[in-house]
Amino acid sequence: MTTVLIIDDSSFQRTIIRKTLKNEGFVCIEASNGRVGLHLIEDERPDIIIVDLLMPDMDGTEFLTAIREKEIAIPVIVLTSDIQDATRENCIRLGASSFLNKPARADELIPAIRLLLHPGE
Amino acid sequence: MDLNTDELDALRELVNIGVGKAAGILSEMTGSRIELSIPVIHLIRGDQYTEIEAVLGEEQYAAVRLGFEGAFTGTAFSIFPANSADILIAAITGDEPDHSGSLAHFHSIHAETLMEVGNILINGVMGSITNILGTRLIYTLPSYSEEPVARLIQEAGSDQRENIIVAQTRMFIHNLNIEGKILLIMGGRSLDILVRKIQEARD
Repeated sequence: MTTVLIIDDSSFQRTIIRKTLKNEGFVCIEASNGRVGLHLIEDERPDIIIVDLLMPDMDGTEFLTAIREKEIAIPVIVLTSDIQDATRENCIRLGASSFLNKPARADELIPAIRLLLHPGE
Repeated sequence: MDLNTDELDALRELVNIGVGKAAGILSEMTGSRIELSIPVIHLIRGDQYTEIEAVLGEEQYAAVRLGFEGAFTGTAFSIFPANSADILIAAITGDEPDHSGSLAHFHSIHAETLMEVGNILINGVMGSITNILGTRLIYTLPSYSEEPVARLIQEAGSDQRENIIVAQTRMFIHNLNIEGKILLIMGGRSLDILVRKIQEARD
């Protein structure tokens, strides 16, 4: 069973993502900011992380930096409203495995997760 | 500062591209065709910001605000009249619209839904602009409020109101009868930088 950690301050967005993933049989755990997300990683050991960028307390950029410093090797998908090329490049530089834009689309999100879980397939 | 015809035209085109991107996103979210108006650019002196009422009226709008800073600094708003906000939220959440013409019944779920939609729209506009200009903006957390436009601008900060550029565009969602506007508020120096970057991109 694949567990996906969804980190987004918007419960509206978390609900949309959760529904999309549950339809595909994924187990979802949720956090409302990066700091809570870091705790959940230690407790739950998710297989994939989906993280927003603009969040209070610890934002997505700080989260990417934190898991890099902690040498956590879980693939991270950034899912954000920010469509700037420079933001995408910055996230990839910080270690994001994938960068997608909101609104979350099942035909983008699910293949991105499957590719990260089974690279080369 | 004053903008000449060429500068106004370039600015209008840039906003037009951004709004086109935002409209594409909104179309995807609502499953409806979006009709766009050509953006209208108003330049208003900061101490005369109440003139905006003559342009947008005194009615209350459901407004999502997103500040930005970087190459240029300002505040962007995505605003919807009460009826339109009501129908838009219903189209996205699947709830029944209220049709009261008032924002009084809005609760936190409605506000959060609208904030996410507005945030995506503003990012569509601003992100398109920065991608074309080869620059980057840092955004503040989005916020939601229900106010007349003059009040929104008043709260945008006096440093951004030295000169106000209001890039106003109308998005009309056909089968849902929803009307929305994007407003861009920038101070004089930021507007100067934006215009210079547009010229650099064009040359």
